[in-house]
Amino acid sequence: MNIAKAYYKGFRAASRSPRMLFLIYGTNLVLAVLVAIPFYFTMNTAAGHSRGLLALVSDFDFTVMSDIFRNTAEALSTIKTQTITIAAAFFILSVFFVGGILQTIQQEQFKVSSFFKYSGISLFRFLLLNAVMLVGHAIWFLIIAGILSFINNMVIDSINSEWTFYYINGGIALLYVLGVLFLLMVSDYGKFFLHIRKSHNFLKGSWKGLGFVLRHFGKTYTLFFLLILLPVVVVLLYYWVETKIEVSTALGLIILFLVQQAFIFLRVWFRVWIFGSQFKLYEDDSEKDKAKKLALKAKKQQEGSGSEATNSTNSAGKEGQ
Amino acid sequence: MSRDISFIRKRLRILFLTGILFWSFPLEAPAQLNNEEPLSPRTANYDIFVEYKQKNHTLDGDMKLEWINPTRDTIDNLRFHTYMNAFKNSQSTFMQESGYSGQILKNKDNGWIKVNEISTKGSDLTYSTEFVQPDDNNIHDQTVMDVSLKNPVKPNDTITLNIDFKTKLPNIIARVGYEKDFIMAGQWYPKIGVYESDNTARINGSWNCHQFHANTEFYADFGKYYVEITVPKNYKVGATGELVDRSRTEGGKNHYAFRAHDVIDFAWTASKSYKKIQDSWNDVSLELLLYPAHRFQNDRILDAAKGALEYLDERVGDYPYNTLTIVTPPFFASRAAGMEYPALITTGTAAGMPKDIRVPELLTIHELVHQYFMGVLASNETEEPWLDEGITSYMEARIMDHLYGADKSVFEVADFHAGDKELQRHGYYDHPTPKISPVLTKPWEMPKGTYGMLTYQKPATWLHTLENIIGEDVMDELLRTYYNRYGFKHPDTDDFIDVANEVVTRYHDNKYGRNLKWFFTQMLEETSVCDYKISDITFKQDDGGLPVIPTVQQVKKEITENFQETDESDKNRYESRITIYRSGEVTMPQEILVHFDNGEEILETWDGKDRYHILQYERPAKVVWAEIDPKEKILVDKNINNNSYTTESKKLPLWKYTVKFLFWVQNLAQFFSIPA
Repeated sequence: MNIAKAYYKGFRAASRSPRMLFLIYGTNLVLAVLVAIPFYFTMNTAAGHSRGLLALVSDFDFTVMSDIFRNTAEALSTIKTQTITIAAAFFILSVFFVGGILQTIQQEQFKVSSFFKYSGISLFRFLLLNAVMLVGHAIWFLIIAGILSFINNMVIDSINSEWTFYYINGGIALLYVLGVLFLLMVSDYGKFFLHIRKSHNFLKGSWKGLGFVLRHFGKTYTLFFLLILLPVVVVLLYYWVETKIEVSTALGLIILFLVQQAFIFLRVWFRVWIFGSQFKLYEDDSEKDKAKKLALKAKKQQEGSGSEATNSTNSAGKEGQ
Repeated sequence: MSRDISFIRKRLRILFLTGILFWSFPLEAPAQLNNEEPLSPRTANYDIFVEYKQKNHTLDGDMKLEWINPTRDTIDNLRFHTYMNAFKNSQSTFMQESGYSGQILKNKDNGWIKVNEISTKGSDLTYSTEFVQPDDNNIHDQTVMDVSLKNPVKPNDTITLNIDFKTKLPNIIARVGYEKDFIMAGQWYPKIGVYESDNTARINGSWNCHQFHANTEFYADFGKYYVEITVPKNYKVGATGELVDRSRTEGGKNHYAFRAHDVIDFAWTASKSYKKIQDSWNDVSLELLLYPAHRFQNDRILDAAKGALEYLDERVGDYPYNTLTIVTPPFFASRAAGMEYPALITTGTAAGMPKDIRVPELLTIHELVHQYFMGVLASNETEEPWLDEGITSYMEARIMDHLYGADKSVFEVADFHAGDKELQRHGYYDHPTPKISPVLTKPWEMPKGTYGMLTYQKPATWLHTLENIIGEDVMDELLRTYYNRYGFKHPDTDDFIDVANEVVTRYHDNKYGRNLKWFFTQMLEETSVCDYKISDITFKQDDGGLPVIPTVQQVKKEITENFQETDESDKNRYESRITIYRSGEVTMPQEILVHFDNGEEILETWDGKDRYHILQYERPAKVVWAEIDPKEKILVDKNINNNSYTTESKKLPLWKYTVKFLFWVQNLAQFFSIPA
């Protein structure tokens, strides 16, 4: 399958299941609200009956903000822990949803029962596959840290401008990001293998994912870059739009809220789109790989039987002589 | 310039030994010379001839010092700062206090200064020297050298000393030393201490010559400096004072001569990579020395410097020198950034520094303000650092906020911005222990990690408060008077307070008391913090005595019990009560703005001394909100959010930040889910 086709098929798959998108988005919202509520009450208590907060309506006020943070340091520390817990919970839920998302993409329709069935089936194997990727990430991180340390130690004495320093470290950071993207792709394609083959062998899944990405290196990377390009543009667009929204009235606040939620919804959509495009690519190309492999095997077998036939003819000829 | 024979002989010997025969040819016209009219007592006058040896990063120096005994005492010993010895061994007081692991010592990148020979009028004093430790008796510390004199120096007599010394520059530490081709030579020569007697200062007849501590800076007498510096070929030099000669030696080395009058110190820098940018402000010649990576920031730095000079000129007094050298150390020597010497400062930046993060501007302005509060008002930085760092930080914030905007002078990034004053107050109260020690604590006795807060941020914050109380014009007059009266002298805390009392009384009579002792005692000698709050607003309509919603908690039960009911015949009248509580120990005069629901506003005043204060109103309107210190004058107030109390809804800002927080958490969760 070519990249454009995969790109489009992923878009179609993501767009055809708005209920699924809302389910994932809603989960994200509900979990975030669980932390936002205590945050609201903490701020409310910290602000008391103060008018100081009014300074925050139309602008940012460092002094008001720093006094609030200082006076609520302990409460905010608890909220920080809750936020990390919620983010971790959302990660597990996201892993849980992957099985359902893949089933929906494969069937090109969303059925609640099927979504949760496949989500449940896949959770454990995908978690284990993620654990393998985490190990891979840790190894990559150590390699990059080693390279960073080695190069910096080697060249630091000869560097006379911080630009050289920025370029070296920027280059290494880029290398690190490329590696992380690679691992993310391996993880995604590994999941596709496990889902399609209904396999629980997460190690084999990791291996197959790695194999697929390496076999289709240019295609998988290009597709991935194309897929993340749009979210990057949307992020930039969001920050531009946000600066234009004046939050000094309730209406302004509502508009900000809606824009933010639309952005979060888009993030969910993009994630499913990425999954969809990669999955379609995998479905198609892994079939082709399989067909090629079978053809090669058949050819080898044919060649093998052909040479056997030749050998036997020769033997017979010799015997005949 | 008079030099005795032995001095000249020594100089010639050094020049001969180093193989330098000067073949002078001027490369550029000498700058305008200093005014010969003394601005200061010129107690310690130096002629120094020094050569930098690149191989071992050493300075071979030969120096003539003329020191005048300014007191009525007959003095039989001299004391010198030999600061570079702070980096000589890991047991020095500096190393012990600063917690440096001695890493630089392991790499032979240590620093030291050795006096090879010291003499006066042909009489050798070399064997009359010893290192002393007046602060802590640490025998390993060699940062103060005592010289016993065979012939004591009588009052107003002058002693001339010839000193042959060698200094090894450390790899940059405490903002001096070398790194690659960059050299920052500060505290590089034996510098005589300050002799204080009953006719000059606090201590009766003794040397004020402290050891070098982790948190202390310097204290020295004013004088004239003539310094010749020889550096390897291609090195460019910048220094305190005016360049009077630049030439090339026969060996191809660069030779510079500088002259500086009425300064307390002399510092210089050299590098092969410097790009020199010349500019001027009024009659002051500005020289910016920076590395190529920072070349696009020259306008930022020079504009900040010129803005600061303009501001100080208008508010405090004339910049007294006709040169100012600004050094921007390279990134590999960033530890040399942010230091002040007379007519020479080091600022700091990084290539690509965003223009809305004004670190180079802030550092430039801070160090430039030191030209006044350290350079001219040469207070004892070692003993009373608030007088230079605190006042400098205060003026730095005024200039920053004036030039770049009060609430965004330091940074503006997306929706977030902060001004210098705000950040100074934040630095004070965000410190984990803002009450740990009074400002008037000897720096080496300050608990670890508190020097910055006690010396920079707290004094700056209460100086802003003082300005807000007495008014900007009066504050400017205070600073002007202080500058004019104590310029080129050694003022101390009492001198500053005396000027403040005099000026404030002149403008405000006894409005703030007979003097400002109440203010300075709290800010300098005590550790208490200031916090006022409005704890409650209640009101009653004349309808039978039940409180009108919203009625909130009442802090003082006894007051509630004495609550006066209104006349039943007057149904539209409200009785409102505001309870103000002083929860901190510091007392400050307060203004309270009271706003009624008919739009009426009343500005009340309160001396702020009692623990609480009640404001009570009976009128056909009820209080909607009240605010202590509505103009935010009392920056030392620890929590400005409790300064106001409103019965109005304030849900919008709460929702605004809750919505932002919600969005942030959602994004964080989405980010966490990427690997899924």
